[in-house]
Amino acid sequence: MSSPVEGVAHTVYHHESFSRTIRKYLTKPRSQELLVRSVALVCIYLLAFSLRLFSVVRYESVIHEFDPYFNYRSTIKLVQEGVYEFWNWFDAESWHPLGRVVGGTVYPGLMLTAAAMYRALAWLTAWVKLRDVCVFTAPFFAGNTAMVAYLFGCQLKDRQTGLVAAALMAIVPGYISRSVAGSFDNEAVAIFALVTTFYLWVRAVHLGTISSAVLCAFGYLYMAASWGAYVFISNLIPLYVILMVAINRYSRRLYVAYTTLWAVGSILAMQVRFIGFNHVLSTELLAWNAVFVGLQALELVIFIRSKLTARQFNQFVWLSITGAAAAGAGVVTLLILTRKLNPWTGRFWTLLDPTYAKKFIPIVASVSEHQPTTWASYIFDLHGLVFAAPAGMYFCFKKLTDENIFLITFALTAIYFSGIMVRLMLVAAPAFVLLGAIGISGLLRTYARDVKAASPVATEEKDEKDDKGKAAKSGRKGASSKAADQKGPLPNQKEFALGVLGMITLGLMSYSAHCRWVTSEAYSSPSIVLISGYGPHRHVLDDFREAYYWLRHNTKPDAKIMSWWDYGYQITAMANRTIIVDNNTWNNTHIATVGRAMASNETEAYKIMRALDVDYALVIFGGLSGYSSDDINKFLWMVRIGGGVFPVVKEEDYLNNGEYTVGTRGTPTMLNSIMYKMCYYDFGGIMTEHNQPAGFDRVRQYEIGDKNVKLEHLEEAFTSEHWIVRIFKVKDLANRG
Amino acid sequence: MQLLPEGFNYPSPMLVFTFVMLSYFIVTAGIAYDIINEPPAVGGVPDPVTGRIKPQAFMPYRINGQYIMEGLCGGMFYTLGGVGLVLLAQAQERGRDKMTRGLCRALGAALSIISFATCMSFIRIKMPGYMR
Repeated sequence: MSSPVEGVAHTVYHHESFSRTIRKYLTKPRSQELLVRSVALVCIYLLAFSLRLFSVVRYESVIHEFDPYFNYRSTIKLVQEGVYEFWNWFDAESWHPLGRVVGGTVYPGLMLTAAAMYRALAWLTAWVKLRDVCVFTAPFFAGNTAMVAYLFGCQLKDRQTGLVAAALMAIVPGYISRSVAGSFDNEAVAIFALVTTFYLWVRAVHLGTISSAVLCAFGYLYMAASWGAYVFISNLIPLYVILMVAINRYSRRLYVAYTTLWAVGSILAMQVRFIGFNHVLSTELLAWNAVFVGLQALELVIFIRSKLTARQFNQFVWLSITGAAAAGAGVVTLLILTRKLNPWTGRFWTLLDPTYAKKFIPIVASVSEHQPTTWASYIFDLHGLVFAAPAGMYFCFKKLTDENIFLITFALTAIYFSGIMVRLMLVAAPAFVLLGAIGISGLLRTYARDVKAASPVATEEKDEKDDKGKAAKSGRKGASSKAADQKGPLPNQKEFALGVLGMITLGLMSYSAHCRWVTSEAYSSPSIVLISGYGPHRHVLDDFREAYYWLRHNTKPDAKIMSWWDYGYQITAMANRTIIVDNNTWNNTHIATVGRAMASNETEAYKIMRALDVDYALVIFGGLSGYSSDDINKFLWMVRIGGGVFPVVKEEDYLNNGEYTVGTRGTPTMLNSIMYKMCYYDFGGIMTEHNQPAGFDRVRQYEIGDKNVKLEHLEEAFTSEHWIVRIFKVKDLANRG
Repeated sequence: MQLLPEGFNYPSPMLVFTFVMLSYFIVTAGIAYDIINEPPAVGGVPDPVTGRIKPQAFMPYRINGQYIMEGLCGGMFYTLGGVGLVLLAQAQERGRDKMTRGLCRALGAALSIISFATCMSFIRIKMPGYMR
């Protein structure tokens, strides 16, 4: 109650009960919408995280594949010894005797992220093992990517599109394939960085402020630090700028956004040791720098045009165009001739000329991820989105805005590149998701409007009145009723709309069922452990880890292991021994030397192995277990790569009439190579299947040629339980006298 | 800002969209795979009883291999399905007469449903273990 004496008014607060406040907010449509949206986003995040956990639930939290083992080893070094040791790391345990400058040839984004998360958790006293932090990095960032896709969708169109984009991005199989739990690879954080950078760029073009462009530059830094495909961003954004200028949509906002991004982004990206001055000197980034210069020239031309008369301006334009073109061509030629401008690397040449790698660089051509895409990969990795993407493209073309044009450019380039290399389906997946979200959301909106209409009769009358009004304005009374009839609503409008909504719902349900099946069956294999069957019939082949840990415990600490480059990272990470070649494949001659050794007979191979200081040779053999990605199936690539550098290794020597066989018709060169001898040593007496003779290879499905393998300079040191990994010791030189 | 000379006619967005659809068909049909690996147009599998070669449309058990004809069929159905959804969207635009809209509705619904069902059956033929 107010006390009039002192003149101070005490306001009386009505203390509402908690439930009344909740009810008051829940009845407002705005808070209802906010609640539904938040719940949806939380569910999408949880879905994105939990769908990727199949291999962890089925087996254990272990790091998959080959490359993640190197990243894991680097993260261990970073966490144990600190940033300076990691930044300047020279690794003497790989590429013996050359070593590898890891600090300058690695993209540190992933390791720094995982180490930062580990330290943050430790600071919160949640003691999570580093290996578990690494395993769960990818699902965590997948959830973040879904959230950024929501923001991107909001920026492109509206909130409904954002929600659909987030939901589709959470489970699209093309992205899941490289971001399951355990896949601790660059793409785990790089796709998040890619989508974030594109979102921030579109926002920067929309706002046209310096601060938004600087934020985009920091997103670009994260992408440049994480993955070699940052050149995709640095070529796509200039392409977009050129396109906008060409179709007459140039504006001051675009200028501010690109100039700021170029200036701040270049300097930030150059801090990564691997990139360094490549960012201004490499031809891969020529477009990035040239468009900056071009934009400044464009602004100069616009400024001058505002000061000169028309005729003077035309003369000036012609003069400057010819002068600039000549000067530009001269500078670029000079830089290329003096070799200051680094040419395009082979990996990116394949994107422009798909047959380049097959003819010139067998190592690039041999990687299975670099093979071109077939039609089935699209429906397997994207399911319903291949149908929804053209619809989204249609909506974008119908109403062109600055943001839509960027999405169209991104989508077209991504779809083209995904057709050339299977691995780039990963980059095309966000483009398909965003286009699909626009398409699905647009269709749902138009048809839901029909369903929400009050009643079919009322809308018909309303439409007739509108049309009659239009006809009356144009003054054609006679044709008014006919016009109204032509443009009126169709019969069964509401039923058809319900049908379309039902069709889209069924399509989305089928999409989610497909994504769950694909993740469970195709993309959740740990590949370090081979699992087959379910329940009581489950078979687990843990040969790889068994062999690597045998190496770790039973060989001297400075032993050198020779194997094919696929297994290098795993051997250094798990066996902790020095290796000759690994997955970095930076030195083709060294790999060719190993290939030549594997393909030669024992005397020649012994000379090469002594020269390289090899103590143990390791081969992967699938003939007893049926594991088909073994070294005998990869052998022809070893021959091709070795033959590319040493002409003494000829592919025809290993083929019988063009046919590659290790059976009775195998050529003597093939049957005498140490690869054959190491794989099939002691195999001739083994019964592998019931009604087959001894020495029957279960992968090749025929008997081997030479069942009596004799080794002179090698002796068998270890064979794993299912004969998948076989390790041979290189014997010392014989005693003289 | 007007930067190009007047009288320069830009192609209409819908024309560009048509070209985009054509290139979408070509890319999703796996044209790069056809150029690099040069697979046969259709494959053959020997008949177990007579021993003669039966033509085989789909390369089975592998997602990463295709014959030329199966690639073109797959790409065509992706594009037709997309066109069906585009027609469904066009059926809702105002300012078109009834016959056009009715045609768009019917054709759009038919194309999208048939393309989706066909692609699903193609995948089941190609990968017998799908969804099992």
